[in-house]
Amino acid sequence: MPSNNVILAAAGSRKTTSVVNMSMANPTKRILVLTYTIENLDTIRSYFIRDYGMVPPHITLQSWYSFLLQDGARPYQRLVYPDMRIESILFAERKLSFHPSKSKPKTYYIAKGNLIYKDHLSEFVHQVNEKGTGCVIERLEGIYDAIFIDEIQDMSGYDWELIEALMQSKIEICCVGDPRQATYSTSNSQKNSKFKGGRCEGIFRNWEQNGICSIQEMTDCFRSNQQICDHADRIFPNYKPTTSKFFDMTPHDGVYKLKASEVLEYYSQYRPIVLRNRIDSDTMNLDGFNIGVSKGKTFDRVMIFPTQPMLQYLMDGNLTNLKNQSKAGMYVAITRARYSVAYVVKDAKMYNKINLPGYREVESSVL
Amino acid sequence: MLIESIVIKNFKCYTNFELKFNEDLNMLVGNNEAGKSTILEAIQLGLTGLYNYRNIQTEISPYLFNLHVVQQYVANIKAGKRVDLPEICIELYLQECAETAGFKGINNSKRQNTTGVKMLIAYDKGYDLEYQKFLAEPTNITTIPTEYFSAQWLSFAGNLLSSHSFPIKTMFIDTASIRLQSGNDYYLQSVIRNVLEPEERAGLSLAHRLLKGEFAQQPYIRDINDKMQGGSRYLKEKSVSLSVDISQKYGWEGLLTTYVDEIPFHHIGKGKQNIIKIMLALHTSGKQCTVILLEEPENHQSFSNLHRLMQYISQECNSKQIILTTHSPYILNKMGLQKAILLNFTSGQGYSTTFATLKKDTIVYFQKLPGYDTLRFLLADKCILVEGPSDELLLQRLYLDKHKRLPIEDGIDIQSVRGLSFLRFLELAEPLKKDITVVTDNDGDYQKLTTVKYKAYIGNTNFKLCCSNNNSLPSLEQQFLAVNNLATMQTLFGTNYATQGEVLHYMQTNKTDWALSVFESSTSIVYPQYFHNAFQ
Repeated sequence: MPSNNVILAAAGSRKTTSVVNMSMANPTKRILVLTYTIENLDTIRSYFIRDYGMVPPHITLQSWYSFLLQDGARPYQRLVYPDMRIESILFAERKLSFHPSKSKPKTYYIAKGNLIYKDHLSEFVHQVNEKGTGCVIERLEGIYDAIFIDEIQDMSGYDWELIEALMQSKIEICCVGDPRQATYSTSNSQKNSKFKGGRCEGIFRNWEQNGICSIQEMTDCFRSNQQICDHADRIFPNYKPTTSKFFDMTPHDGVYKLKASEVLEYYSQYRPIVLRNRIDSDTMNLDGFNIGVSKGKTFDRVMIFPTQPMLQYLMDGNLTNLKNQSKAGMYVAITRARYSVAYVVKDAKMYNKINLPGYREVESSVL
Repeated sequence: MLIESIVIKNFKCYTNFELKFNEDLNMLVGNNEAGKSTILEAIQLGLTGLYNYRNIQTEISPYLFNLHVVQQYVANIKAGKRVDLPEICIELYLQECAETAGFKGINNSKRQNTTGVKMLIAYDKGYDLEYQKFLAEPTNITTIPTEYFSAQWLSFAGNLLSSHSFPIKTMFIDTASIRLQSGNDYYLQSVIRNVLEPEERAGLSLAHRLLKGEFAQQPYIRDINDKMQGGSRYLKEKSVSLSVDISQKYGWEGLLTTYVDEIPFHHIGKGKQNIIKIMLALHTSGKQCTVILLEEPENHQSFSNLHRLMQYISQECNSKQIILTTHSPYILNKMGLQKAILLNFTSGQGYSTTFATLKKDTIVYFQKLPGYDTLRFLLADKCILVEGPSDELLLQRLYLDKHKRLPIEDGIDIQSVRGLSFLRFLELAEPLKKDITVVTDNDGDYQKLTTVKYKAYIGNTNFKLCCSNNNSLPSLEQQFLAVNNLATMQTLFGTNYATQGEVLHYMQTNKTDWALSVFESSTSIVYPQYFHNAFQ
């Protein structure tokens, strides 16, 4: 068995760059680079182009879903469906009025038009692989020497079974990710639900104990200044503290709160990138990114429109009431910024309770 | 080996056909209409998604489908039965290698976990409404509605394929017809395209664009453009100029022509054209897996050129898989009979026979004596082997006397071979279970023929030995003199000898002449019994 690695990387630790460099360092190997989101796939591709001009032929870039469909489900689909080709994936949420039985694989996995439900895709691949006594993994052994998986924290359910099976194959596996940034989960399946929502570190520890991988941590942050790192670290006190290796300074660095009345002025002065929870969040008509989509990106400054739970946390600093999804979202949003993070707090009472400097206060103190 | 085997369903003459290939050379032989070219077409479809050099999607017609299957569908629909529309499926089982590992899966008709690709031409569910209307009037249905069909090019992994990333190069060289596309030979273009590496092609394309750019800079053209600028005031601020269209991606292919000794390629002889095409195809770099499909390489070739071409093919074909069709026994013998695949049809079903079991010395024998018409022998329904032209003539005349037509008209082929070759031909016929009759002199030792020479074949239902057991009449001439009146014979020959001995001497020294006089005579003679046996 080759040496498999799980790299737990703090935000801004250049993990995606390290995935690109790892792939380039092995030009004789056939390497598959996987990641969960299309956005991150684009980022990886752009890094290759930025640093090397192209994605070289020994490297294949693929999203996790497309990988599951093309190299997981379809090659052995006929072990379950003798006469069917799975055309594509149905990404829409599945609304169930009944619980389909696994003994009826057609209704369990497949929607009209021979589309496979996204939440059941990895389960299907797992089933096919079991049925064909490891056929999926064996086939992949013929195609790739190494598989690097970025954004590993986004996996869930049967994804973990597959990754574990890959780790036990001839293929060298390297998973890179940050459980703190688990804003997505690839399926809503109940399988491995105790590892959902950023708790996947537990899986890695199990694997390490069973000797199928070793865990490394990357704690240097090349993106954000130390104030931002410290502010983000507070959400995850159990992780090793992050050390900032970003030493650029501007007159406006750190973490701030903003009154509603200050937003437009602040926006025109600092041009921060607006981060919101959802596309329909009220951002006072400023255009911006959903937090989930912003993952992997770097901005000089961000302006966050926090959700109620986030505001609550900012006021009382109590982590127990903050759900995993909120923690992850907040961590991602904060760690996008190089120089400054500003929270928009529209409610005046709340504004006063939050122990962060207002941006005017600091300016006046500097003056 | 690249292609290990092909499975063809409902494509042209094949309803359900499988063929295994040799890793290097494959020579498809068979009568006309035996499906040789269809196999090349099927391979091309499976490896490129192209039919007649066009995307199959635009080429789907009822004529691609097996006629019998189409008729069956129509008959069923007219009889009120509900049946599925037929599908064409061509599967190519490939050797597993690093380049093709991604094609592995069980999406094939054998459910084998193996590497391969397939072309599926089937009814497209998107046309359900139209098909419903079509079915509503069964009386008007004469064929299958292929406008509701679509083609899918898939790997055995179940994923759609695209030609730009396909790891196997295919070169189809059809020497029978020279098709021209915009004045240039499409085959040559595709061969050149395959010979050149991507960076060389890009370089050629760039040089071509630069050349076009220089055109606009010529003083003449500049003057013309200046003039046009002056006249363009009616067009308001728009600038008008003459230039060359450089938008075509592969523009050079349309405008550049290959020269052979300073003569444009399409002006040189067809034989030479074909040789160049084949040689270019064989001369590709070994970077990619290559399959070369060659249709009747003997076309337009003189005997000596064919010899040179065959030599070149056998030297250069290493690491490439060649699949060719041929009607030339010379090619067949020369390249080795063990590489031949004989195709034939029996009651609508295609069959193939290979000769891998042939002994080495038999293969070498025919390689050294490539003039033997082994192909004619293999393709004959029934074959009578004789010792020489006189036996051949006499047997034909006997059949003509009896049936008023020549034996070949009834599919009986009489071939003369030398004494030693009889056993080689019999060995060749073994895999075919072909009916073989041997008509021979007993050379004074009938027992030796049955107990030694043909011992292995005696008792075999496909084998018949016709020869006289009278050891005192060892030769053909003696056999004929024994049953015919001497004077009648002399009249036929136009001779006037005194003794039987002299007539015999005349016949033995003028073997073909006397047989020819019998064959051409208006009167019939008597034949020895073993001659009659040949046709029983």
